[in-house]
Amino acid sequence: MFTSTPVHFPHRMFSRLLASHILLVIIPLLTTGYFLVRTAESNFKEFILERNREIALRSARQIELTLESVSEKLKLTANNPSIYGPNALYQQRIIHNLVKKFDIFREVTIFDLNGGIVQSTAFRRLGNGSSLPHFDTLRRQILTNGEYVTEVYLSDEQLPVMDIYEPVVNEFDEFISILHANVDLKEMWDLVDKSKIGGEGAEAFVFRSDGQYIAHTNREKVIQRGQHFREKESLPRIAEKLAFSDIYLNQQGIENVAAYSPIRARSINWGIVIQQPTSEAFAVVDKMEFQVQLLLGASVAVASLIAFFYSRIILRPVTRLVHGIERIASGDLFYRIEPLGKDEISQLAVHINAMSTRLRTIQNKLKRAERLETLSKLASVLSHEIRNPLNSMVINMQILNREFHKPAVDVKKLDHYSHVVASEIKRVDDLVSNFLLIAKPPKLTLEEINLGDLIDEILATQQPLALPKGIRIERRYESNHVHARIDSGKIKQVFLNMIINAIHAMPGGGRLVIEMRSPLTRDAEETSNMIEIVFRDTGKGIPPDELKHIFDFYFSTKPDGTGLGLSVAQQIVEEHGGSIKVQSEVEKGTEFFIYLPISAKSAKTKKV
Amino acid sequence: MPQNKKQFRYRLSFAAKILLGALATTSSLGYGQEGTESIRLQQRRDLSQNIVIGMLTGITDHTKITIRIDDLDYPLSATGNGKPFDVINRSPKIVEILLKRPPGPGTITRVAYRFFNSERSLYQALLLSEVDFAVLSEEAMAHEVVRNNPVMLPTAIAKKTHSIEMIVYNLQHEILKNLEIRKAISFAIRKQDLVVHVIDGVPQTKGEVAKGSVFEPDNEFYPDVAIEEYRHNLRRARDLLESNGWIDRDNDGVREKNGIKLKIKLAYRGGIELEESIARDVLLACNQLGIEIIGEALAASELEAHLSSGKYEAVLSEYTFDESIEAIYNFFTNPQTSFIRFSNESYLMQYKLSQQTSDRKNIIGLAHGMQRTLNNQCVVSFLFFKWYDYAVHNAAKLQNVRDASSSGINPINLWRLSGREK
Repeated sequence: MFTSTPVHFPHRMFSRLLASHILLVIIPLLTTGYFLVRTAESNFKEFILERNREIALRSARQIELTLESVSEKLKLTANNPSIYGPNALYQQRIIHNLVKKFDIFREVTIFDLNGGIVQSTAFRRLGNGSSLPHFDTLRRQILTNGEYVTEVYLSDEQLPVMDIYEPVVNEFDEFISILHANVDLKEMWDLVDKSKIGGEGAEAFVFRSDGQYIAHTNREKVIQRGQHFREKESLPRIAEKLAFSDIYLNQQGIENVAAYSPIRARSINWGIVIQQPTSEAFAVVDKMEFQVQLLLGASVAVASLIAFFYSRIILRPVTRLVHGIERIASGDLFYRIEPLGKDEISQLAVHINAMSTRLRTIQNKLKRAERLETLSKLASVLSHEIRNPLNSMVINMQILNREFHKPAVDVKKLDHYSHVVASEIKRVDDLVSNFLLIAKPPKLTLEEINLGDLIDEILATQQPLALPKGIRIERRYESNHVHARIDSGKIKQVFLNMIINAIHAMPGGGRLVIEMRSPLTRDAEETSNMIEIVFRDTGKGIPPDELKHIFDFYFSTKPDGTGLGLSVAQQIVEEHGGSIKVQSEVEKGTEFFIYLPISAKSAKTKKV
Repeated sequence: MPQNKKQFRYRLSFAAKILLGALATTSSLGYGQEGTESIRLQQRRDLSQNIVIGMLTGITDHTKITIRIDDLDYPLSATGNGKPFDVINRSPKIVEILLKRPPGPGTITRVAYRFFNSERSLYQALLLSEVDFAVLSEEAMAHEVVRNNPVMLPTAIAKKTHSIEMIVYNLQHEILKNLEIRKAISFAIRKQDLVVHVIDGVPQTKGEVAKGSVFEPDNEFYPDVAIEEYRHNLRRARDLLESNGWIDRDNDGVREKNGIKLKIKLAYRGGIELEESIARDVLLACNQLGIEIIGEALAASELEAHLSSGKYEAVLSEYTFDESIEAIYNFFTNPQTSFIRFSNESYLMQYKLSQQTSDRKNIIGLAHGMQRTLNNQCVVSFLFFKWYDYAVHNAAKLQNVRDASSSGINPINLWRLSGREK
């Protein structure tokens, strides 16, 4: 796998640019959002506590007014001259009208000063001749306080009631009878219901000083005996008898927002509590917090998206520049980077294009110089190499001439010497041909070729030749999709040369491994888009003194070698922008490493 | 030995009977009973199949309950094994029955009738869901129950036609045998006020004012020609009393004649809000006239005892008349069935003639005549025809209670228990 590919600088720059953009937006956004939410939450909670306190206060006032009005109505009735007049029917009419018109009066009764019933709306009472218990105590209380209000108690029907006693005083200020009203506190339930804030978990209730419920949104708590507001102790401020609102844990462990207000009417000492679970009371706050968080999240997402696209726009010329530089670096000096605008990066692209042009010129000059140098080296080698067959030809021609002038011409000898001359002429011809091959720069016809397929094509012809010699050829490709723009004929010649050399190096059999992989040893920068093709044989190896001349012209370790194969191979590879190197150990084997630039479409990650 | 064995067997069966009896008693809703844990568990299981119906002692007592099964009304006091239930417990406070129908999913196996002295105490039990079904006299109260206990559902039960509320007078009573007094009371009452009640501040009509007849005005038995409707007329009422010598001479507000104070006891069914409200209105109306009304709230059984013994003066009564001349005769005159026992020559003659004819037109004409006599003699003060009773039931526990087709209540064997009580 080509995972050793170095980190791409443009991507790092993109990430940094993106990160800086996002952070520049997110940090102030989140900080502001956090403080906004906290401030709003705190204000909301305070507002809810205050609102609940206000409602408790208002409800308490309503209940006080109801009780006051009950008391007032009774007082007015007690002051009505007809109530203490001699006309029994007037008395009857007044108290029955009171009960008929005001549901809160359950029963109204007029007692005489001995506790006997004078008139009553409770029809049965009259008939029974019942009288008021503890009358003396009651009379004293009424005389002292002007009226007497009992504690709330449950009636025979298990509904909350209370009694109010008003003195009936005649025009001479004589205390002549007592007006009693049995007050139906069920009438307060509606008031309490209206005070309730919230849903199912919410409650509103009125309780006595000992905590017993008088009215409750949950009726059972009032109707059933012994139900008290036990959490009263959790709210010590109730003892202060001032309206407040607070948060406390009830007996079920539920956190509640409770608002309390005392109810003070006449001698009544009650309290009203309006409460709801904090989860419900502060649901708006939680909702708001959630919405703000959602908004912040959305803002961050949008900002990130904008930053992403903006960074891409900013980096587009850079990416193009980098791509162009990569093409140029890979040897394509004809490539031109298209400037995207008039900024510094476009300016840079223009300069790089100019540099590339100059590099091409220099490269051409260098190539020419190299070729001239090679030619001069070659000329000296060639002159040396031609001289030997020429000498041989001269000698053999002289012998041929001598033999020709002998009287008895030995045709066999003539044939032999002429054959030697012809062979030497061919040798000179070969030398000249190879010289031309080297001297004349190869013209490459580049095309997109799958290197694996190319090697496999060669192996198809060479494997049948290798196998009878006991040579096993093994191929190891990291990817089957490595493409390169090459002259397939020339590269094929190089690979064939490598394989034939390896076969020759293993006369007693062996193993040839052809490996195609991403370069392991070369500089990362250079090999970022190169492929390494290794030809590793288990042959006799090359001694070190020969190894350094192996790519020299006309150097061969083989008796019949021309000494040009590897030189030509090196020249072809280099013409493709690649390189070739060799490693060898005597009696162990030789490795040839060929580096070739690959195309972008090569799937580096796909394994064989 | 055989004798001993017999005795032993007898004792064993006796002990078993006692044990079974005890089990039956403890499982009968467990009011005040104690038992072992297993009995309690059994009891709880039983309770899940139980329903409790709230009854008012002012309406009926424990000996007069009827149960409606498959469109038939069975009195619980019925004997014999053909009846579709067994009474397993009976006391003035509670009557329990076991329905014989094979138990199925959701069917009710046991019904307990629990008696309450007043609608207020029934109201309290309804609020606590201790009672699953009850019939209330006032829409306002049903409304209040539902408002305070959301599991309860109200149903207006249409009353039978000609179900009339009236004041029945004891014609033998020293004061009330006086026609002018009866008429004066009839003129004093504001009948229109009786049929209006206020719910949530909105006045609503709960019935139709009766106009001199036991039949509703759109019925053929209604004698619509020249009938005295006794509309509220206080002046006429006073004139009637004064012309008859009833004057308040000692200025105590109560009229008197020959040393007899004009005081009348008005008996009514106690603990029923509607009755109490009517009684109060009658009291206030008479009060303005100088008649002192002394209210007597009685249980149904007490009221019946008073009526059958003739120890009553005026009674607030509700009665449903069939559309027949016999219904009139049976209620007002028939000594076998009537506690009023009104007798009048022309009235009796008309009834006799009605027995001798089969012509419906004639019968209706005679019924008109009889009613005119009753109205002229002011045997009763007709008040109003009530349109509805108001049932409430625990909708979280009971299903199929309402009969959607007839705007009433289904027979009890059609009621079904819900899966789980809320």
